[in-house]
Amino acid sequence: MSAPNKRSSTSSTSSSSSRTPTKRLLTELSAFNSSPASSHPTLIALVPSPSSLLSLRAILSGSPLPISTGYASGRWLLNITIPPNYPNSPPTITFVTKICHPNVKWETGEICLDVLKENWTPVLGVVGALEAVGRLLGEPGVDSPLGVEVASLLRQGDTIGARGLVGFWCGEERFDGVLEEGGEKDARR
Amino acid sequence: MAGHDLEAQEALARDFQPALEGPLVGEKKTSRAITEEYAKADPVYVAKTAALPQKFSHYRPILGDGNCGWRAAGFSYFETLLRLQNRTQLEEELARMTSLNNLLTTVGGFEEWLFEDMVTETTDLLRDLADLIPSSPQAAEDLLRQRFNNRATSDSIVYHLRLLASSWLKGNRTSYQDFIPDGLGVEGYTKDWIEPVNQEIDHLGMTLLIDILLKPIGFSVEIVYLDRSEGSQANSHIFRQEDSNGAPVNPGGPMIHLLYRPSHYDILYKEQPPMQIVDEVTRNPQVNRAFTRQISVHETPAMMGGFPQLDMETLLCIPGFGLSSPPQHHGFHTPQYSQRPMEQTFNSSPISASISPISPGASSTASSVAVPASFPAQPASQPSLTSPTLASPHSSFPAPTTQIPIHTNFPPQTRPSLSSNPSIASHLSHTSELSSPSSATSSFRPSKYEWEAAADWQEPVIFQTSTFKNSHYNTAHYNNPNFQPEEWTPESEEPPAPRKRSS
Repeated sequence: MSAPNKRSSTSSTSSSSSRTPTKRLLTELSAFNSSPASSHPTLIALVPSPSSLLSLRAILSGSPLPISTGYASGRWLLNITIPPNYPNSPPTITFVTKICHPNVKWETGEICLDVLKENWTPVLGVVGALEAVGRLLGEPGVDSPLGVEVASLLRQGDTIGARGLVGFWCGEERFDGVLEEGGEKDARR
Repeated sequence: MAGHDLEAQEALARDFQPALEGPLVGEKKTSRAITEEYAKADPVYVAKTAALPQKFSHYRPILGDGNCGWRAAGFSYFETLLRLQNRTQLEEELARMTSLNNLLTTVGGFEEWLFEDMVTETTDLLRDLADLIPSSPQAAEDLLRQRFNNRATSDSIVYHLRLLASSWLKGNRTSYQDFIPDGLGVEGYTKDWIEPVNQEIDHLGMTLLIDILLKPIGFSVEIVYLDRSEGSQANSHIFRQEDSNGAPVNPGGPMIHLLYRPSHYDILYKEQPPMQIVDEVTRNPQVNRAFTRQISVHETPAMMGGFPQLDMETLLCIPGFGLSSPPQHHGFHTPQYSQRPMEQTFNSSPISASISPISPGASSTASSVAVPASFPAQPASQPSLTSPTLASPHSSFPAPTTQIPIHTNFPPQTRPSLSSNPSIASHLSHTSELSSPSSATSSFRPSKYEWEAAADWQEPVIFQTSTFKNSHYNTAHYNNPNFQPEEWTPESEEPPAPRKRSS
């Protein structure tokens, strides 16, 4: 086989175009680790995966949320994927732990939240985006639901039924692991 | 408004799709493309787009991805800095942009990690342009286009501009808060309208951006609104620094032109000679005129024969100034107008033919070539160029035609003039600005305002001479690059009468 047309390594030095989101992510992570827990109440852990900085894991806790929401007993693991053109495009955040919520798809954990889609602003950052997800738990929108069952309960005004359903799944699916550099440990196993 | 008007408007709004394919910042195109695009549209658009190429020869399409207004203004900012060809100013901008980080943190409330990458793209570009501009302006332009078409770089610069506008609003609440829609408040507005990526710029956003980015360095912005409002020309609004009396602070400063169509911005260009030269001529009209007089006294046929072809062509671009020695010979710096295709400037040529004092002898050779082919659309320089000596017996030069590449040669008595051209004559009866006697009859030193009025003609000027009609300068000629067949319109055969709407 003939030698492939080898690109000279100098071409990759063309200054700005090769910039990746890594630098900004590292800054965000160190800012997160040094900030007080009160500045991000629902987000209790944020750790990059061992293989790539562009894939992170986070834990959200429902404990700061009001009991009436039904989510106060929950604890969820989330997956964050950073696109190459971050922060001009939003990170993709999905629930790994199953959650019963009108704006989260039960099967996939996909989240329907405007600031993660068309209203994304780089001002938020990953931490801000996760905090927005945490706030979404307390303020569900029932107009364009991904989680149909619980949304229909809420729409019928059956808040007690909805809270019961939500609380049941929070207890059933609760993620009790911890995140460390290198992976999560699931306390249940 | 009649029902079908509304329907037509809605249909247009529905059909209008800003380009979503292609480069973020396109190549310069002749603005006739806009006219053609709207040729079948509503009559208001047809009239407005037909008038557009007379004022703006070119436009640059910007991708309609929700950032077009930001990108257009940002690109124009860099491009205008390049046009000034001033390395020091680029370096000053570099310093200003860096110092504005302070505004972003203290007033805007943004964390440094949030904007440092974006600001770096802006400052890198400024630095690279400053390095390139002394040696190769062309390379600098190419670099600018390349950076702005790189999605990552371009979006970072655009987002830097968003942060600047947002911070500026937060720092000047009282001046702007009455313009914030829907009672959002400053915080809500910046969050919903400025900071989301791909949120298109609104009027307040554009005002903020101009106020923080362009006004402080004396750049003014003209926005041409191509919408369905009444009138035969697109409305425009000029944003510039003004003193307390409303007079512009920096009247001769560079101007950026943007074309606004509902929810989309493109960049418009007026072709004009480099600014510094124009300023020089405007400041010293008397000196220049004295010089041309002197030149005409000194010149001899022998001198003229000795100069290369190129110099002669340059001079031919100046109306009424067919023959004289090249300016550099006398150590006098004359604007070097490049020869341009006539479709860019043809609107201003007929008035030049009618108001510049050209003696019959000279005009039959020189001006008939120079005027339609390329006339500097620059009003300010006119006084220095219409040399009075050419109207005197001096003008009987030995026939220079052998040295001059003459493409067309129409007789002086058929030169288009204000009174002989029916389309303009009809316009004269409607507008007061052109009906002043000086523009039509007295023929010396037209004022700047007359030139502006001339550029404001609503319809394209129709050349009447048969020589012109048969030449390739005529757009109806098949050899013209912008060939467009003539259409017979019954109304044009009849004397113009004020049109009445039956509806």
